[in-house]
Amino acid sequence: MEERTEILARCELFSTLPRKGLEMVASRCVPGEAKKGASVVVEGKPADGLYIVVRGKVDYIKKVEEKRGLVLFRWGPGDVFALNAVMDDKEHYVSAVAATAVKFLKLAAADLRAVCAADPLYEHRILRQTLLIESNRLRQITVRLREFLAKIIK
Amino acid sequence: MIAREELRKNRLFGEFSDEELDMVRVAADEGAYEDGRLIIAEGSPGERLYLIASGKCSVTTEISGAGTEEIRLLEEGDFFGEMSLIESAPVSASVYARGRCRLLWLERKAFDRLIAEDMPVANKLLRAIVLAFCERVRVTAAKIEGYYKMGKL
Repeated sequence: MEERTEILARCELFSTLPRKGLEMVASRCVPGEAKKGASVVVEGKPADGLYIVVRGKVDYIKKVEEKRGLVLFRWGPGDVFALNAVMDDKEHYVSAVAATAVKFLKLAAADLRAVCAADPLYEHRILRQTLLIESNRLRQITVRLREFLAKIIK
Repeated sequence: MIAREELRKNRLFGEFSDEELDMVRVAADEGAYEDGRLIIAEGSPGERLYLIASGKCSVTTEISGAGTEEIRLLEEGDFFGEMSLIESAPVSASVYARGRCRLLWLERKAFDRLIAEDMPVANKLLRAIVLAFCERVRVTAAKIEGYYKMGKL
């Protein structure tokens, strides 16, 4: 439990939570693992939780053709993924595929809601961190969009 | 002062009570922009959260060797400028008036005050922004797919 709390303290999404909040999240997380090449989440499927990478690397892949995808992001230890779909309660907009053997913690969407409902301060801090994370991802993805536009126009 | 209903039409404030909207009204300002006028410039320090009360705004970016491209069209009820306020980073795209438009805005100080003063109000506002961000990430990812296919044609 202590180790899990420390992992969460290093995760941007939860890094600003007070110790009690971190412990609450830690108590609700479930550990998991995936072999290299395995899909952890699948584009188009409904989201049931978010994931924190503990060890290894995960590629965030957007399907562009039947058997072809583009890697939009690569996540490593401490990174969180599937956050977007949990927050807006929609299907995953990309797949998350283990680029190496991966260990992760999973927090179910219902558990994230329970943590947020437990204390407005927890919700506030999680929302603020979510904005920083999503804002950064939006910037990165916009850079990719520019690169594609430049290629097409040239 | 800006009417409550005008604020409530914006997706950021749809869930706000009258009392909560009044907190925003006292801090908000408004103005009209003519077609083609630059509202915020890419790379500049963002100092305002803008709400579109009427009309449309075009979000554009510079593509190296190709000039300016529109990446998003915003309409009544949408908002922009929040990314820079949250990240304290330069504006990531330019925004122009597309036709005549009327905008409401909150200066950085007013936005920060709103977030700091009342946690339930702040959380409502942050939730609404998070949802909008999630949608933008989705839309942008879908565009990449579209451009990839166009590039292959």
